Amino acid sequence: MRMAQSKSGRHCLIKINQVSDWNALWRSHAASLLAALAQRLRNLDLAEEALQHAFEKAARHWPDTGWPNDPAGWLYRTAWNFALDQSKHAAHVAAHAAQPAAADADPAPSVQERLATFFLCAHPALSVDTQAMLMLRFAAGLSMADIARWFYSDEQTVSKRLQRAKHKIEATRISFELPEVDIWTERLPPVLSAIEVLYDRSYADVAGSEAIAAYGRDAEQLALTMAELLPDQASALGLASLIVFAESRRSARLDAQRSLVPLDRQDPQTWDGVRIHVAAALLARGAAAQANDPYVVRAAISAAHAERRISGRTPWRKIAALYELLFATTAHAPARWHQLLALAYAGQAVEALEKWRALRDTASDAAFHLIAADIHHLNGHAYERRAHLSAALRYPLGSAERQWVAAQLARA
Amino acid sequence: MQYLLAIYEDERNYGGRDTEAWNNIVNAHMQIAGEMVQAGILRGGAGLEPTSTATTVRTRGGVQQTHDGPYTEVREQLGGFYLIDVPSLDVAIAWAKRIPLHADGAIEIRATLPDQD
Repeated sequence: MRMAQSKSGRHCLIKINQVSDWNALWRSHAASLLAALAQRLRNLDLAEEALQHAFEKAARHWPDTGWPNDPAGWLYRTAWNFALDQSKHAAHVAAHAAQPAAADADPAPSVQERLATFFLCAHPALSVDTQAMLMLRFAAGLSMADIARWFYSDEQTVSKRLQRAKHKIEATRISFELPEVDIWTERLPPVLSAIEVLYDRSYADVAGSEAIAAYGRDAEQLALTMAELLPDQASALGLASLIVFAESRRSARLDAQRSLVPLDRQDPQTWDGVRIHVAAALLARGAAAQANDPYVVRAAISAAHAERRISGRTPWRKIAALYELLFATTAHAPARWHQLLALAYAGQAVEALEKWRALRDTASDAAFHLIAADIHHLNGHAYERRAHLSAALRYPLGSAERQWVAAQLARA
Repeated sequence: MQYLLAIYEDERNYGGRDTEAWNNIVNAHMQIAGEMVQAGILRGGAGLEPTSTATTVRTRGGVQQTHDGPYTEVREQLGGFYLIDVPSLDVAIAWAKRIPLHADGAIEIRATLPDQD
């Protein structure tokens, strides 16, 4: 987890002629400054432009004047004054800016403003990918180049899509206000699923670059922020717990040959104990709020896997029961597949295979074939296992995952 | 801001005029339109005659042709619209969700361009 940054003073001692210092400055302040400016100016474009201007001005002046005592405050005031000076926007700011909105306002967004930013970015009138892009930009403060890498795209395409989204927000007047609490049940799921999309992209490609690992931590940070902002919402707590559990195993998921190490073969002592502790606490609070919330159930499954760190064994029967509950509440086919796999691991391989064969699901991804391969393996069916492993390779997989499946096939 | 709420349904669902389904939907529209007037947001709206009565003027390569029939054959047709003036898309969405439909259908919400003044 990223350490909390103090709002002021922290960077005063750093010499600022190094690019990495500027990157650190951007990383520690851009997200919160963008959220504060966007909310108070009621304009995403203007917020970006103003903050860009403030950073450029800092780059010109700070090498001579030294760093201000309060870099965030300096950047905020500079950006705010620039926004007001934009004559073409002045009328807009005057007409729409939220109160209080002054140059000397707190540069850190309030809880309300941060939440409102999430809800704005993940508005259901925007496509799911666009929601994720907007959140990376305005809630995580990523650069266009970083967002482009996220989406295996180029800066120009991402910039165009964000431009279109910003135009839609302005032209159709999507509200910057925090929605009423009673419609959160409808509006919270897109916020959480956008964070989940972000995390999945980093999780699916475990051998991806350092940048991809950093994005996983960005998604983790966003999920933790939502859990902090909504301390009573089971799904927010559950998602944060789920992601922190997954992050606790990141380094254990890759071996020295950069091949995937599946969960049941990882050395639990290499898992991150601090994260497991944090995730378990989030799960306890989420379960107290609503134990059958799907995110809470998925986090509980992660917690069950984490038990192996203490007890030395995985409680497969418990995991099967949790997947059954997950399937009952979501009707999501992969939950059923995992339930049968857990059953097979729990010593009921024959029964699991019978139930697998009775499924009417058709293969749609690598996961389907990988689970089928494992269930056959636990039944001693080498031929079927090979067939499913080869079938899995016909679907998109991250490089480490592909390497692992190919190795299994070679040995099978 | 003004928003157009365009109603798309399969017009055959009603089985013609003066059916029970037709009378029910007309009453339901009177009800919601009344509420829009009460709320002071209704700027316009109408139900439309079926697409079998549509006439289309098409321009192609600078040549205009008038022909019988709708602009395009689709499974769900534009059957009516409301024009409302509300502060944000969320409020427009809330109203759109209350527009009555006989069965399946969709309400397309379109913000209008700002006045040029």
